[in-house]
Amino acid sequence: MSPSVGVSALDETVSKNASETYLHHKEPHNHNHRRRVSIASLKAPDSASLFAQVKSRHERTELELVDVWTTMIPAKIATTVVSQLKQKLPKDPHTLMHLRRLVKDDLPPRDESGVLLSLLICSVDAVPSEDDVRALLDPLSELVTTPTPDERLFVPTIKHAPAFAAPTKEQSKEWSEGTWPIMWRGNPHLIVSELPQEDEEELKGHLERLLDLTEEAHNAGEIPIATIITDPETRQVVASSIDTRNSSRNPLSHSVMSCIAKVAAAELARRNAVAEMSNSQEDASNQAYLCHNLQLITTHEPCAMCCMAMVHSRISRLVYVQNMPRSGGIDRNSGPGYGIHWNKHLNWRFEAWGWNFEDILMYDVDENINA
Amino acid sequence: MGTIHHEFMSSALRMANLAFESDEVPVGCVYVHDGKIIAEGMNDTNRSLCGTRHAEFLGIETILQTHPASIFEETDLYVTVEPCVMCASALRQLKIRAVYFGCANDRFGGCGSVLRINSDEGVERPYPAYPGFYREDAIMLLRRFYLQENEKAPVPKAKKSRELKTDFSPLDLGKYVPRAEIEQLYGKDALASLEDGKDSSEKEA
Repeated sequence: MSPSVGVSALDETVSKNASETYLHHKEPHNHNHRRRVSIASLKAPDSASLFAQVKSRHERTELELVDVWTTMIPAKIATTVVSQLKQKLPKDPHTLMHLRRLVKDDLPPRDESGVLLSLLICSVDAVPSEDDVRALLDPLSELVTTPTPDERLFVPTIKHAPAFAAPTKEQSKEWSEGTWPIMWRGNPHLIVSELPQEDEEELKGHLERLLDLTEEAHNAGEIPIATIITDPETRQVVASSIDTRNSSRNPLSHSVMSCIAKVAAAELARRNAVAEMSNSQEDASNQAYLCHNLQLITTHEPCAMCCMAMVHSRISRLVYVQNMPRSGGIDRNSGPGYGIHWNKHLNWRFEAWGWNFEDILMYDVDENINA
Repeated sequence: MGTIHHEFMSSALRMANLAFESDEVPVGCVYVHDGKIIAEGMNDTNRSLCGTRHAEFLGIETILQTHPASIFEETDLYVTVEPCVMCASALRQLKIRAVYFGCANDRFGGCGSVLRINSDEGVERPYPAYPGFYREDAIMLLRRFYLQENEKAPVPKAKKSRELKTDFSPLDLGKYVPRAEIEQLYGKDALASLEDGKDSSEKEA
């Protein structure tokens, strides 16, 4: 065949309607095919890692505030107050770990209580009513033994606090001015940039399995994209799937969507079996956390639909091999740069790691495909 | 009131009511092709244990059983709540013609509230998404649902959140629809009533 004519005709089809391209490519041999590499034997050069964390531009660079309840307490009894208070506080919807619990007040103490400290109680969202905060504080105020205590003691006051830790030490200082101060502990997002060695070894095995799956997909006339979901605790594969949009004629049959659906179907079957055996209905209220703590490993950077499906099912970690610069929903340079795994407006975040080494995938996937 | 869009949205609301009665988050939708409803959908996440079984997807699967995917290019979606980021992306990949929705989805909305999946630069063509059709009915259904959920919870929340709110914050139509299209698409009456709602709630505040 004449390569130049053939190639340009193909290119035109690709740019016009990418999702159709593979419909015309049912014969397995039309995919660009590379030799399979043995992943187990791959070793990153000195001090390099096989995986790199994908950070997004949604990393917090602007100060956001959250309302918090604070009060004044005598420094002398601070430790007791904090430990007793901690036992009574409800679970806070905001993470306040980055904030100082106690702050030395600028004003000199007005009576014999000695040095006064400001105490961070909880977010206003955790306990909305001032009466409820007073109810928490009242028993603690009895710890004060001075005859004429300062009238500011144990009075709840709302203050603004930075909602998140700052990315740099300088910003941390800046944000703390005029708000409740941050405790600088370094930026965990910057520190965690390498996977533990055991995880990397485990992932190599999963990648071998992914290559098997892409071969299977390719031979079946499907787009060679595959996904597996694993349980990091047991290191077992929970579900695996390939892209099936060609055979199903459903452009949304992406491997990530199918894999999540398989986890759900297996859990539903398990619950039905349990219910049948014990003749009782198991509580289904934790369904929202279907894939909580599970890890999803896939060949290509997932599209926005699949990324949000991971948010909805509470995936904890995503690992993918190849970036999809036109359609991906993770990398800051992909598509409009959604960074869905780390979008502050969404209610769930997960880690994302990208393959950081030589090509391992055997087949090319058109850049206009939504993986 | 009384436009063809309201008519289709009332069918979507019927599906949302069905979801409510099935203990699902009350979201419903219908797909319209050539002026006819070709599929319905309601939320199915609780029954299936699958957080991706949104109303939109159930309708899509019904359509694909009997039609090629190309039918979406001439199909409109009516859904009681703004499609989430996942559904907004799915609809774009299907090249849906237009989306009409009831209320915004401040937590997950992919058609203007959190992200603008429908209109951003992307592989497939963008699609318009128009909010506000029977918006208050869609909101009240959600409020009733979450109130009931909270009452079922082992530790009910504070009393304040156990009361059914009946006030509505104004809809910022301009956030979703280009100015030039508002009057043309919503009609003068609908636009006026939306703005009335805005005025009255601003007076209250």
